[in-house]
Amino acid sequence: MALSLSETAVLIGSALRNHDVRAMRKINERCIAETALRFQQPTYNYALVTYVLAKILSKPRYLKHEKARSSLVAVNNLLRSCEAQAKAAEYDTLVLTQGRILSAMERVDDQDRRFVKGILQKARLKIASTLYAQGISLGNASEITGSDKRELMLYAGQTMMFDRLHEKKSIEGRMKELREIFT
Amino acid sequence: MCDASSLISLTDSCFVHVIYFLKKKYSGRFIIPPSVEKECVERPLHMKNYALHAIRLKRAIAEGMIDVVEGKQEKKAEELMFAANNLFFSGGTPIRLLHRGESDVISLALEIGVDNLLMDERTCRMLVEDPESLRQHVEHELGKPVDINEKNLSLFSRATKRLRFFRSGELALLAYEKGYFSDYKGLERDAVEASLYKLKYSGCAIGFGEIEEYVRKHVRE
Repeated sequence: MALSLSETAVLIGSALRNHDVRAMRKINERCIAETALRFQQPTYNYALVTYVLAKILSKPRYLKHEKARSSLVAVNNLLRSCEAQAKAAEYDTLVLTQGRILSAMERVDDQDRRFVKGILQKARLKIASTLYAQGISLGNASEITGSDKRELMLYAGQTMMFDRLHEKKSIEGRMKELREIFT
Repeated sequence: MCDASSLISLTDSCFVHVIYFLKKKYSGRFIIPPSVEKECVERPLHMKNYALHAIRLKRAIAEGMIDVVEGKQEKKAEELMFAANNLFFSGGTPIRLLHRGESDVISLALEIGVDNLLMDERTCRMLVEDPESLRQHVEHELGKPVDINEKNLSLFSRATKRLRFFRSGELALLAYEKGYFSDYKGLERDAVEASLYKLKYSGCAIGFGEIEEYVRKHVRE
């Protein structure tokens, strides 16, 4: 059953306060599944938020910085605002608040940045890859998540997704037809 | 007709010259719609990590290896996309599978009478070749029942039934058969096998199992 936007905010807040990475990932999976079925910006934003929070919570290096810890307190408060805004059906404001959460987490990442690709960009790519693996097209997955198609293809190429779904036509079958074209 | 995904795999794997090679041996054309040119050339020209790929393709277009052809039947493209994106339903909600860019490639192919598409992207290809398997996969992945709208399936299938799909992996294999790797002198088989894996890692929707089986039966026999 789909979670409501306010319920999702409550669950994320709870997982954050309890430092429960597993619970955060479970919420992330549900948000991605909902996004695949029907894209809604707030649900997709929660997918981003939960991915990034799961990453931050699972890496002690982020939590060493005082600024990072206070950012997470601010995120917790913003999640409470998300709950209230979702209940009041103030969806535009909800999206803005989610944006502030994501910006706060980008700043946490920036304090101990180790890769060219930031944590938010990584989140978009991971979600896009999951959507593509689930059956959404490459172009759609790329567009709705805001990730680059090239990066998505490179990422997907490193996974086993093309072995998990067998195609009707084998290489051999396609080659027979291709040779006919080029004779 | 090539879509963006196949050109992306080919340029990322440094195989754009397979197109040059086959053009010399083949009187046909490699065609793309303007949307694919925009996706593969104009956009990445401004991206540091992909500018070189874009330049390679820009050069291939300028040298006549790839032709940019504009479609005229906007309405047909929209109808096709509507059918594709109202094919699978879950809980009464249509699952939006295809992107406009992907349906543009198909509708242009149909408009100008091209039956052969070079497409590394998996969903679009499966929607045409084996929609039921795709439906089962989506259902399994999402953990929810997924139904097919038979009317839209019939419309989509009738429109696309003559289309044949190939991947950049098959293009590389064809080039191998025509002598593309002949100057590797004794390393041709290693080169083509390595090329298939490189294309796979670049995002061509081809499985490890597929490559292993084909190489074992037809390359390393």
